[in-house]
Amino acid sequence: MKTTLYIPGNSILHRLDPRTKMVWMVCAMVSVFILNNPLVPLVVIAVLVTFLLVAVKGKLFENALVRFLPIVILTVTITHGFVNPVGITPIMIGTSPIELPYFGMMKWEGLYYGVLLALRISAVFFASITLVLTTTPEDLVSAIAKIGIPYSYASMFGMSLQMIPIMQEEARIIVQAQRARALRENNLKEKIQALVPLFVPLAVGSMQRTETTAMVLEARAFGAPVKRTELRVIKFNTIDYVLITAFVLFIIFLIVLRVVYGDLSWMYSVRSFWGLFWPVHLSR
Amino acid sequence: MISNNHKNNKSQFIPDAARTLVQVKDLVHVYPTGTRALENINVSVGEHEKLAIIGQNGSGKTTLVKHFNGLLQPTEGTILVHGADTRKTRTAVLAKTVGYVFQNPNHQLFCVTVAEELRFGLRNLRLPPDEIEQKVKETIELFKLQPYLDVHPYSLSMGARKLVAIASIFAMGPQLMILDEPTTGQDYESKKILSQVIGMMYESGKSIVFVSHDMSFVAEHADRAIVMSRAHIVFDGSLPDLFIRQDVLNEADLRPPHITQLSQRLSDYGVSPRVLNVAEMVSEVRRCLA
Ligand SMILES: Nc1ncnc2c1ncn2[C@@H]1O[C@H](COP(=O)(O)OP(=O)(O)OP(=O)(O)O)[C@@H](O)[C@H]1O
Ligand SMILES: [Mg+2]
Repeated sequence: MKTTLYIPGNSILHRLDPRTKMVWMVCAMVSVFILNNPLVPLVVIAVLVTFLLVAVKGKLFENALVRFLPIVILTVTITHGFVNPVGITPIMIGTSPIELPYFGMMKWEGLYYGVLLALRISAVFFASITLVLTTTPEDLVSAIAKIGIPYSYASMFGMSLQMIPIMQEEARIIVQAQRARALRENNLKEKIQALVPLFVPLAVGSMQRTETTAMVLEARAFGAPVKRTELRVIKFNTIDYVLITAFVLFIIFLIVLRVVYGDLSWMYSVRSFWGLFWPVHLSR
Repeated sequence: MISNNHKNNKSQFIPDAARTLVQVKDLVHVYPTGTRALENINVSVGEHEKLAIIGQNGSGKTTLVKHFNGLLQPTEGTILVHGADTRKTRTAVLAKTVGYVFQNPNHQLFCVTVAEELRFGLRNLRLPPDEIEQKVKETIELFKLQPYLDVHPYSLSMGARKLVAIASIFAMGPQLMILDEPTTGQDYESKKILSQVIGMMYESGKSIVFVSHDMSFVAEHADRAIVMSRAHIVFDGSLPDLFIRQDVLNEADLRPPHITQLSQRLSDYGVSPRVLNVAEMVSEVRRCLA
């Protein structure tokens, strides 16, 4: 049974100081919102995914959240394509527009915005899981405490993260227990009904566990008014300084672009699928 | 064939351990993590049997019994329940024949009252309402649950909760009851009730398979034992035979119950070394003294 989201390894990402990965996370999040240009999140995603694949290989796709991402991307893109009020130019296939009753026609501008937003969400997502997947929970907690957050909050964060796989495992056992009582999940209605018997034991179990954990922590002198001894010392290496400098320069570069050239959006000139990702009309 | 099984009741059952209920052939189970939890397992469970599965922590007991109703699927090999392949039959269907009680009752209970808990499985089997009420009533009487009927299962003691979990499976009328570690965390009183319940379920014609670390409980309730060690079955046979197999006992780090050890020590004086309980000991001693 896996009890953490952490995937062991010895790649560059694993060896970085967790604080560097936090800076990386924040820079990635900020960078994708500076311009209204899908190329920035695309570059950020490409860099992050490359590093992640080197670090954890195919295990990246075993993460439940990673598997969920395509659904988020599709939903955001399609919703904005239809309903975002920036849309003016209908998307034509041959001579007919893509139309839904009540929602109306899908527009290029809306779709551009949806794609941009989906890419931003993905970039933020990959930046965050880089931190969680490649940092041991202990190091993560030390790092959060090091940047000035009180230790009790830091470890609270660490423990919540560890709860996710534990609850996944628990949910799996409960589903088995319900099947052993002939619970059926043939159609959507039955699947939804099956959520109630899943939810109750899961919620009760996690509340009991929280209570027990609190007592155990106190019994083991957590929060005693003394200076804690640090077993694992985290510190910056050259590579950390180099990378942090690179991220910061990247942000500065984007800000300069924004000030000099504006938001670099080509929202109103998109007329083709590839035009969503690359300013086709400009290169012609 | 399977769909009729839950209707088999006391009056119809034919005690016949030769008829197989569950047949396991060349079973291998490898967890996604790569752990080889079962290797080359061949075993069968007959009708009207009391079978104990013994072995150290992590030897694969739970993994094995979870195959009996399709909760786990074999990596290799086949499992037949009344001739039906568990790969092709869903757990919800097999649940009519094989009842599985989980080690932790909290995973199984979620209704607002004990009575609702008993009805849940029966509703899933789509029985008519009057039949459901009839079965619930029978179960309540057999398990002596009258005082708890309108109580929330989570406010019961661990012992009572376990009993409710067993009752909720029993009510569905399976022919095979699997109990995973029924005795852990139970006090003397709860164990006594559990003993009665196992006896009562056996009397009503069911096969009982239970996983346990408690040797005297095993000696008292099982006719046959399977010993597992490191993913293999290292012994399958009667209890007296097991307790004289020193190699198996060492391999699985088991010790016979005290009363059996005593009888083995006294075998020089003519006492049979196959004694399993106090009553047998008394009659052996009587015989020797006479
Ligand atoms: N869901 C799982 N994923 C991966 N490995 C597992 C899983 N469940 C059990 N195992 C491993 O399979 C082996 C057999 O486990 P199993 O639970 O069947 O043992 P057991 O005999 O029931 O032990 P116990 O007496 O502790 O209940 C163990 O090594 C265990 O770590
Ligand atoms: Mg077990």
